[in-house]
Amino acid sequence: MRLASLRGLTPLFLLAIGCGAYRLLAEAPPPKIVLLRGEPWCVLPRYDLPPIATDAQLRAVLERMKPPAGKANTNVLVHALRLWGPTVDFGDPAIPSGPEMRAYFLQDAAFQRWAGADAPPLFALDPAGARVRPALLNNPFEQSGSVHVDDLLATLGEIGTPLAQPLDTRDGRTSVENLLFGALHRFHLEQQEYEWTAISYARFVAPQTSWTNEHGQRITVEELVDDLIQHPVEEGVCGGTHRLEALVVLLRVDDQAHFLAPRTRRKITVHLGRVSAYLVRAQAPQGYWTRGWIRGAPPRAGEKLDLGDEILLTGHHLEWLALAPPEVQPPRETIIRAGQWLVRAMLEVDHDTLTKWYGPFSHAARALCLWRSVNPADVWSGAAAAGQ
Amino acid sequence: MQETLATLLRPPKRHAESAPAEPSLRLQPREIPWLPALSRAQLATVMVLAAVFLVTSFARLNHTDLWGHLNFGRWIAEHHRLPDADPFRDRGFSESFVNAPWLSQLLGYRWFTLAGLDGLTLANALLATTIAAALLLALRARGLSLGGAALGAGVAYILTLPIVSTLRPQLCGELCFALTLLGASQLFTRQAPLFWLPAVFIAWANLHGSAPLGIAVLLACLVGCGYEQWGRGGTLKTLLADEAIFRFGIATGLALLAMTVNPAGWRGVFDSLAFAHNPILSGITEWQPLTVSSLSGVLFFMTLLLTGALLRYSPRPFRAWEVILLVGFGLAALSALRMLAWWSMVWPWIALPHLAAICERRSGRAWLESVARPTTLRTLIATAVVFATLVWSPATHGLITGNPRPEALAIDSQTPLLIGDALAQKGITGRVFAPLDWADYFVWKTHAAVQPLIYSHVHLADQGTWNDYQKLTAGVAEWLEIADYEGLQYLVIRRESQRGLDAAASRSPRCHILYRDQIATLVEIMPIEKAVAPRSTARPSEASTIRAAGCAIVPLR
Repeated sequence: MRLASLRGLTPLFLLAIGCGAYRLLAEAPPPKIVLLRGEPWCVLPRYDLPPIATDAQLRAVLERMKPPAGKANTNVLVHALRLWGPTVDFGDPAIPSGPEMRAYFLQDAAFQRWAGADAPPLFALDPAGARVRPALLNNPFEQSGSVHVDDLLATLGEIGTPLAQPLDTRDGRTSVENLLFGALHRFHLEQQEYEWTAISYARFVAPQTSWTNEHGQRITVEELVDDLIQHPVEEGVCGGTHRLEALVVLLRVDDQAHFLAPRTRRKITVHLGRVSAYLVRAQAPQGYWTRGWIRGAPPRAGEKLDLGDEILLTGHHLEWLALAPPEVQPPRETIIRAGQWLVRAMLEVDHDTLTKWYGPFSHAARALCLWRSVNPADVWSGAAAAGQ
Repeated sequence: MQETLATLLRPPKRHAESAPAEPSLRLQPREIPWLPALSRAQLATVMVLAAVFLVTSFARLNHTDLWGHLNFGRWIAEHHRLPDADPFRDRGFSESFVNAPWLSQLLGYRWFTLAGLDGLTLANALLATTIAAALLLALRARGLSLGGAALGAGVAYILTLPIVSTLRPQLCGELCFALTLLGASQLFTRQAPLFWLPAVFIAWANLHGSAPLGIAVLLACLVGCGYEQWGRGGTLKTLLADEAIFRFGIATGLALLAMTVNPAGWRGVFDSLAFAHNPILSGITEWQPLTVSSLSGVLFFMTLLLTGALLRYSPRPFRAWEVILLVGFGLAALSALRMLAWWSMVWPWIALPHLAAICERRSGRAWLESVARPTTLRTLIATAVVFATLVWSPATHGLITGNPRPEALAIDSQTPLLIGDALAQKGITGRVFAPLDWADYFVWKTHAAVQPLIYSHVHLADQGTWNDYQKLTAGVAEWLEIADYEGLQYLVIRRESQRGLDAAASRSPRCHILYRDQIATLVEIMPIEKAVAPRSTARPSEASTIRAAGCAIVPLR
């Protein structure tokens, strides 16, 4: 065969060589999730406003907010851990202490001790990362499941749990980092609840501005912020207040980590400022807010009211406001009126209702402590010591 | 075919030979002896085909009936036979069932198991490019220069742009159609297509149900030629003596016989003919008439305007068969958006020779014909274009680098990826109501564990089931009775467009929400005897429950 007859194949050889060279030079795809820190970012309270709740009122409120005794409920315990922190000790073996509450979420043996030996494990391991068992409606083990997506992870971040912290599951030992990987891998922007994933991202992943989920979608902090701001507030958990909390946590972590673009930061500030203005207009003369706060007008005469909802809304709003920067704050009078109403409601509500609504009410107690920049465990132990 | 390809792509010698001598002062690029030389038209052809490949490969895999066809392919591969009834539902389907595209479904599934999602994107791009190449050859066979034929292939592709992202057996049908146009072009002067066209029709009858459209092309040519001959005072004898008429007659007969070479025989042919008359299809967007407001409509009506201009100015007389085809396929495209795919090939095939004739009359030389000498520099440019296409194209980038794209980037963003995952993870089985464009994906994702009330193969459903599907979609007051009647165990609700049903199901004590995101809600319908009251949402505390503690100074409200 003459060499000239092979000329037609030359472009194919060139293409093959080019593609081979490209394959050799092509960079490997970047890792899906990059973590730069082992410790979560800490967000401290920034105000001390005694008129919102006096020391005596605070002690009285906290006295009522000890975790309920008896068989543990995961949702109640996660709220109790958020309120009291991991160090509190109530001196009552029937009531889980701070270390026991923390162990409930980190060690399966402790979980079984409090939730019952027959309770299915709270965590399961799968290739994408640890997975939390959700609380399924009408399931016999609903009480020991997690009610909100990624709220356990966000709480572990809030109480300062490092990523290397071992997580002893029934499937074997893993770490909090694996729980975070699972949450980030499974996260998607169409998710119904993403507030706690956003908080977990801020606590553990910042200053990284993006990650890739298990479907290959790149999630950026800008998209996350847009989701938190743009979706109908009424569809958010607890009247949309956890979205506001997530935005505030993002802002506060950005104060330390500087990962938000100026435009994104401004977007959050403008949004929170607008919400504050709504809250001023929507506050009832007594000081509380209802689910109608989004209308920006106080409750209408004759409107059906619900004390549980009012405590839930007022407590949650005061909670995020306690961490929010000064430029988005409503007038102090608004805060104080809300705080004082909350104190009275918390002190007057009967025990059964308080136990039943422990979660929302714990937000209210935590909000009061945040506005006084005090640690609830310290306040309670001080009160207990004075009582002795 | 090899001879055809070689002759059709060869640069025109007479022009190359008669090319004007380059000015002696102009710098001559040195020719590379070990590279073939390409003309401008050949380079343009490479660029057009590369563009078709690249643009098609950027389209993500559409979520509509692709998964439905892969479902059928998987079923056939697993059962080693063809289904004789709808395999994905146990009720609510019409008795008559011929699965015409079984071969493309099986090949598609086999290809997917071999090459994955990027492989499907590659198949889509390759099919679109091959269709463009076949049409280019058909235009060359009609006497167009290579440059003109490349332009025609590009025009045809632009006309199909609105539907280019849908990988479905129809693409195989379109390839066979383009080959039929090539065969028809050659049948006027040659008999070679009589040997390979039947093979095309055998493949076509098993790849897609559109083979009757190929018969329509051959018949139109036959009737058109016969009409012209008859108009010239011809007799039956002269008609039969006409070589073109004879060849088209034989070709049509052979093609009809070839069409019967399918698992259902003649029944398959009749079923294909009856398909478009299924009344349920009228409720599907792509089977509804074209509207000017859509991109497809704009493109279609632009071709109509151009046809008017060509009728007025073309020095080349419009042949009877051309008019028959333009009118027939034009009316078909007007009546159903989906027929635009065929119009986009028929129109350039007929119109471009007329456009070329106008241009040639004005310029005095062949339209878009290369006159410059072929050079190896163009070969290098063409190689670089192909290399850039392969590297840039999402279909081949993963193959070259060994890093295939993740699912979310390979499939269309409208694909119900997350709710599909939820169905699979929760182990949902049984009868499910879901939007029909989502249902195929759910069947695929759950390995046919869910049985959709309706999926994209709507022609398989009976009228009553289709009516019930529409009522459920609209969220009518008696939705729960309909769901019970249809034996539905789950509802997958598209929240944005089915708000009524979403709200009603959320309120119903017999419904239990298993999953919800911002796009969809998955609801379990509890059997009547097991239905439980919804979890109490009664307010936990009223003013009366508040203790009258001594510290209360003012009432709380």
